[in-house]
Amino acid sequence: MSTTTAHITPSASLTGAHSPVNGRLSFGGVLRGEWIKLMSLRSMRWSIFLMVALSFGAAAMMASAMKSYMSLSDGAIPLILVQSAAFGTVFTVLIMGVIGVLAMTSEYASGMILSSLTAVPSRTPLFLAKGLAVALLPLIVGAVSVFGGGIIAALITGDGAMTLLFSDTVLVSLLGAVLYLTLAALMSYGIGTMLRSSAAAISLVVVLLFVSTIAMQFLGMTNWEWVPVVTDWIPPTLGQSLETAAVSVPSEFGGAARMEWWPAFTGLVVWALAALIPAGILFKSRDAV
Amino acid sequence: MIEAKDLTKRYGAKTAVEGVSFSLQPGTVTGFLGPNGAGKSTTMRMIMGLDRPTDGSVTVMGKPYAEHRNPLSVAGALLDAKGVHPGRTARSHLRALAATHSISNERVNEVLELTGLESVAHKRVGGFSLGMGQRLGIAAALLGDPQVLVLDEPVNGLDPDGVLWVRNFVRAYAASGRTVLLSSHLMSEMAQTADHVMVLGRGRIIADAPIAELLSAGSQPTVRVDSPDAIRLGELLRAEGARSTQDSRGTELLLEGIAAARVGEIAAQHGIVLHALSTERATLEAAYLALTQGETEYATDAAGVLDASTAEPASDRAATL
Repeated sequence: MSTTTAHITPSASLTGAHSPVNGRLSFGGVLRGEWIKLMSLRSMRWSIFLMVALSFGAAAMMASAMKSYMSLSDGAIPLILVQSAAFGTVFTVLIMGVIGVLAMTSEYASGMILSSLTAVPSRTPLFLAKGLAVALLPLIVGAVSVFGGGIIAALITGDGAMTLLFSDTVLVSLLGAVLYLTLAALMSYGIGTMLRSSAAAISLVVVLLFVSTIAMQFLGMTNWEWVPVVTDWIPPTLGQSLETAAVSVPSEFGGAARMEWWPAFTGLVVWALAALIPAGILFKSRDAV
Repeated sequence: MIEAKDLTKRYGAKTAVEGVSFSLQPGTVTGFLGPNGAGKSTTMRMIMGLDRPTDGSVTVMGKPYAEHRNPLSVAGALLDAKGVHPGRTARSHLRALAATHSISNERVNEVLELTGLESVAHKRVGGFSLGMGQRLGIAAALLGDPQVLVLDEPVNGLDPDGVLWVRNFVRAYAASGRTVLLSSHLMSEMAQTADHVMVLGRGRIIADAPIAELLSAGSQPTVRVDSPDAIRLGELLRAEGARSTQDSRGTELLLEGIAAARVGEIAAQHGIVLHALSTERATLEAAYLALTQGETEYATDAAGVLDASTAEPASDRAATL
């Protein structure tokens, strides 16, 4: 690899530039760079594949199970479609969370952050562009997973389900599932930026997005008054509310959503901003390493 | 060009860099020397806007680096050879950085070609040797065809071919009117590459001079003589005012305060056979050690901001250079 490079003479081609390099920093460019970073990792391609496969598998399983339990006459089809399509998000939200964390912590772990900030020394565009890339991923992959899951559920359910899939109630619920994934990824990105350590940030994200539900179920066995309130506002409950608020859920499937669509959406936005705002301030002000 | 004024960086109670001022001119290669922990890397990170100075300021081409509209064309830096995600290919790494400035894929190919990485451009960086990582870091620094190059230990881990390439490259780069700042622990390499040397000790600049000046300010030249009759020759030479710089070992004498020509004349007058006679010029290494040794002694007396890595004796440090 070094056979042709040992002798360099001062000349116009010294820096290898056959034509002048007219670089100009722009936000679009920074965003493109961040997207290249995300998509050029083999682990990312595997995560996307895993996420889509999990969502489709979960939707097929749930739709088959619900179809055999419920009578399809009483307006249950929208519920089956929503529950099936969104079922996978219980797990895929963790994949999104980990991707959100690693998008930033891997830069610190590898030292890449020095190159990244040398290219974008004003920093804030880098933080925003990376956040946007982190949000775009669940928006795109989440939409494919959730709507694809919905189509699979509709095919399994039959009986006019495909028409109902495009009804307002179902679409709003599926959109809720995609937004849950997106806001969870953004919250995780904020946490990763604040903590800068993959292990610490992933642990916290898993606690917030997964363990919190189990913990609150245990605490629910007490009669403490604050438990149901806190349960309403942890991210997994907010996500579930966002996914099911628009459809009526019988008690054997967990009962009605604990919260309306907009309050649940607002709650998740607050979680994301609570992580992103301090993260953005720290990212701008801290030393690079 | 790079201009620093009273640059200071403190981490809590520990001072990494204190009151550092310098001005690096276009067309020169400036070598940055100093013991581990002396503050070289911190200074370089402050130049590139990566660390915020506690006090003072530093500008690159007239303004703080972060305020430029096209930073990669103003300055390129190699600050951490392994600063690449191991799962990414060399080309993807460069494309991601190039995209920020809308730099073309042709330019990415040019820097890959220039650093001899074309054949491994599609390989993931995790499998790269240290030397290949260095080449990739240099390729990244060159993407924007910058006016200023800041290279932290660029030859670390390179094969002799690579070391020669870096030397010729930075010499030619400076010759085309640009500014180069590079740090290295290899004194002989630095002596051949740099025009100007800055020595940092314990966060302060202890020397900032053209390399020739630094060498002449060092110790006097030493004359080395090898003679089967070394004892008698030594007596004769000391009578002429020469000083032995160390005890005679067998047939060899090391002398100061006398020219090699005079040694030859005296030997001829007395019919003494010489096997070897040479003048040993002061090396950059000797000059550097003399400088940093003085700094160590001074700083050990001064109470306060000591860094364990610089407090070790100069002789120990010599082994790591």
